[in-house]
Amino acid sequence: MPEYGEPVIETNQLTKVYSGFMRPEVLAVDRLDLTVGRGEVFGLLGPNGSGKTTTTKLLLGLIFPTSGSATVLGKPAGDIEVKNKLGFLPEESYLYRFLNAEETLDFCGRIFGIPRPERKKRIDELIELVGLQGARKRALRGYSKGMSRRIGLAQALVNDPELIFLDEPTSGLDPIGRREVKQLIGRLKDLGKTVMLCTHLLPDVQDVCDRIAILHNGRLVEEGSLDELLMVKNQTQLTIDNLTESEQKRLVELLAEMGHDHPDIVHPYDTLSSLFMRIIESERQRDRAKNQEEVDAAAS
Amino acid sequence: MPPQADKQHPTGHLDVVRSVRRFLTPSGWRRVAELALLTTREAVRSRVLVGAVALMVLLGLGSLLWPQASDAGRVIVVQRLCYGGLTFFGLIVAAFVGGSALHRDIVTKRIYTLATKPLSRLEIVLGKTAGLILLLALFLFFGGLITYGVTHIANMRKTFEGGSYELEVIAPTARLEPDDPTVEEERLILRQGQMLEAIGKTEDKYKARIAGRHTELAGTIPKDVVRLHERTLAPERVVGGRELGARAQGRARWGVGELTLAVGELARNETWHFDLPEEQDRTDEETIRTRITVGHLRHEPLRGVDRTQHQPPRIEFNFYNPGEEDPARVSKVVDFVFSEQESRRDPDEWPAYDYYYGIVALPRRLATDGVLAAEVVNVRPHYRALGRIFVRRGKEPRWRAGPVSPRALPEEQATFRTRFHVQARTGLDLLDYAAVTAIIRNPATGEQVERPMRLRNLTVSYVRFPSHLIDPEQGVDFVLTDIPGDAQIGYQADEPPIYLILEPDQFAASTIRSVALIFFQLSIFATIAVAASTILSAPVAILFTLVVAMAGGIKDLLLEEMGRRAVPAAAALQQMTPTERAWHWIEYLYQQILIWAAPGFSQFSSAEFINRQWTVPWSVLATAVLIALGYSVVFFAFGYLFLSARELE
Repeated sequence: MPEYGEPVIETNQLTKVYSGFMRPEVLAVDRLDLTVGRGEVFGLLGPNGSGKTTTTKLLLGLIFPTSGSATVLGKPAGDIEVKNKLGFLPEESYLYRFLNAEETLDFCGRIFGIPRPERKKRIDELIELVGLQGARKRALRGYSKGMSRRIGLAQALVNDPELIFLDEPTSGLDPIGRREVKQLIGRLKDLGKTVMLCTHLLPDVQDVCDRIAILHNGRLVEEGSLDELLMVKNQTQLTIDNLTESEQKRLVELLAEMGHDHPDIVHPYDTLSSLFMRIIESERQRDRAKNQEEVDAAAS
Repeated sequence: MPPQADKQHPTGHLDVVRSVRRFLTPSGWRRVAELALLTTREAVRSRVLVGAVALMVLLGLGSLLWPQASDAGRVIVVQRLCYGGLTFFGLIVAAFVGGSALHRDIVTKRIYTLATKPLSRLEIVLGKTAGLILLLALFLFFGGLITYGVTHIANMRKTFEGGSYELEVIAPTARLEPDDPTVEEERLILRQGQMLEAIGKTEDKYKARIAGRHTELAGTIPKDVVRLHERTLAPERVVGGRELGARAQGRARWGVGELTLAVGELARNETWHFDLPEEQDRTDEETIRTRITVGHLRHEPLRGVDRTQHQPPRIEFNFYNPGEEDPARVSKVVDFVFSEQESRRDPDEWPAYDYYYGIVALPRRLATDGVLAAEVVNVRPHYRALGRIFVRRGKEPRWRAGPVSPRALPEEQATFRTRFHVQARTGLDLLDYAAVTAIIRNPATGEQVERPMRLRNLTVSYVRFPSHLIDPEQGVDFVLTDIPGDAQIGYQADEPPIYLILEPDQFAASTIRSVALIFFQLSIFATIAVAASTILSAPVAILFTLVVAMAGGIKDLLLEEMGRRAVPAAAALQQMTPTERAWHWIEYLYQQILIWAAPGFSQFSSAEFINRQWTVPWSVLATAVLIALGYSVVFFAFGYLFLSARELE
């Protein structure tokens, strides 16, 4: 039995068949039973066309189920009042091109009825959070894809939502942006928010999710906590810093005495992402130091 | 095999009651307002407004260069071009912005930004529509300013000097023979039963047209008037009695003014003479049944009234015995019946007029010495009684017509009063008034009095004529002076027999109301376009809006065409085969549905008022508001239903 808190998303035999005039029927979601608990970061995984986005749209009330039902925060999916507590970052950020970042967030804040002082404060916080301070007055039509994702993320958080749907949140972002988004998801989790993450970028999921569900052709094929699913229960991994060759030999002998022959002893590899981040971070520090030197020189 | 749809689960979000309730809260209004502002802001920043206003500037300036037939026509041409431009460019903006409003959001998935926020679909449709209407209001505001400015420039280019206008009303004088038209120097004498509308005047030229026929004549006043007089005068219409003269004197600022002279209309205290020899032996309690024919009863339906529905005129008479000192009046309301046989309609002469007749029973005691007096008290709205009243008894018609006011000369100390109707006035400040001085002069003795008056916009004022100033032979001169340059004054004696606009206004009120009419019309197009964009692709929605707009423009033509195809007589129907009959009824029903369903936008045109340089009446504006609301609500409901049922994939 999976362990999760108070359910905020529940689907019961949720099914969606796309059909229409001169259009072949497509079964996008097939009798999906899913539960997401409060405070979880839940990953909805699957290859392209597996039904992740359709499920999200069903939960948001953008499209209507063919059969089955879904509840979000205790209300039927699509309930208007519930939308006060939701945040949604679509797969691509579809925003008003002639507005700038501030105006976009202000409009969203007004729709949620956030009072003006609070709204202003929140806009400043969010723009800083997504790193758009330098482009806050620029019309969105001049934004790069990464910047559009950032403002999209900001608008999804403007109402301090309880439940946040993030559809491919890191798509289009550079590694730094991806790390920041993942850090942000971690912070949201710390604040007790529930996050539903739809992505096919598995490293992102592994870094931030508590539980995942894997969809294939609209069907739920696996569900559970990440630890539970990823743990190889019949193997144990030791990670030791600076192990010498002699110590390594003694350890092999000791393990052989215990009946564990031929253990794999290797140096672990870093991920490319970590390497990239380390290098960029080091370059940034050097730039900062250089700038400081120039400032000091100019001052003296 | 996909699972069957669960009947228990809704397949859409059509929850009208909840959506409406939610919208009717302060936060609902606020959300709609925010979305409306967003829609407007997007359109403004995409330079839609600037483009449309720039086109209006070009049109306005171009209209000043339009070749004009006269100074009087310049303002009219400029105004009509500008209002046409406002309507056309507004329609284009409404169709293109509205037609793509929701469809583009759905296709680009920008709708997700709205639909995942606490905005119901009703609020989305309403917000988009309101935003577009706000955009159109902005366009009309700037376009209206351009129109006003250009009209003002056109008006300033007139070549006339300002000055007062003089109107002379001649009291009952001599009876003229039917074939004795009298024309004096600079004086126009018209017979009873005639009507002359004159538009435009310069120092030496006078443009005139026959009422309802728009035939313009040009030349000097006496010459043209003679020609007009001869042309319209028919012996049977000149019934003797007294006449009304009007004199238009020079130095009038007459840029687009309009002079309508109608002579012999129904005036108070109209009298008829009866021969009553055969009635001598009857008692006073008996009644005389007499037939009254009212000539030149002009049908002026308010716009929006179905032309195919004929509403008979109703006129109320007060009959009394003029021989009594304090005559008691007997009121009779007569519903006149149009009669083809009785019609004296002559398309060449009086195209705008029909004849009606009614029969009224009168107490015999009212008539003594062969004289019966009657006054017209009330005429049903939509009709103007401008002609004569004929009373006849039995088979032999006895045409009698009485004089027009002022004709009854009361006692020495009594006064006679008439009234003035201020037609319109310039300026945005509707609380201003025009200070006017009325000079009443006895033409025989030269004695005169001055009556200063303050005339407010759209008010009726009265002035009393001391009876000693009214000369029995020459009547009374009545002159309005000190008329401010921005005043526009009409003179009404009972039903408007003489209608003189002394000065065109500065077009502010006229512009505001005409633009308001266009705004209401464009609001309909905006609603149609947004509603269409909820279900149709942008090009189709735009096309749909344009087609509806064009169809609405020709509804009147459609009605006239349909009206000719009446249901055939029963005999003709019986001669048809069952198939033909069925086909006929199907065609008839189809026509009726078309007539009923096709939108009509002629009510939103201010052209007829511009042509006369009149301000659009409030009643027309009120009608336009109601029509716009009706259409908008219907199309908005469709839009809401379509979007509610639509999946935002």
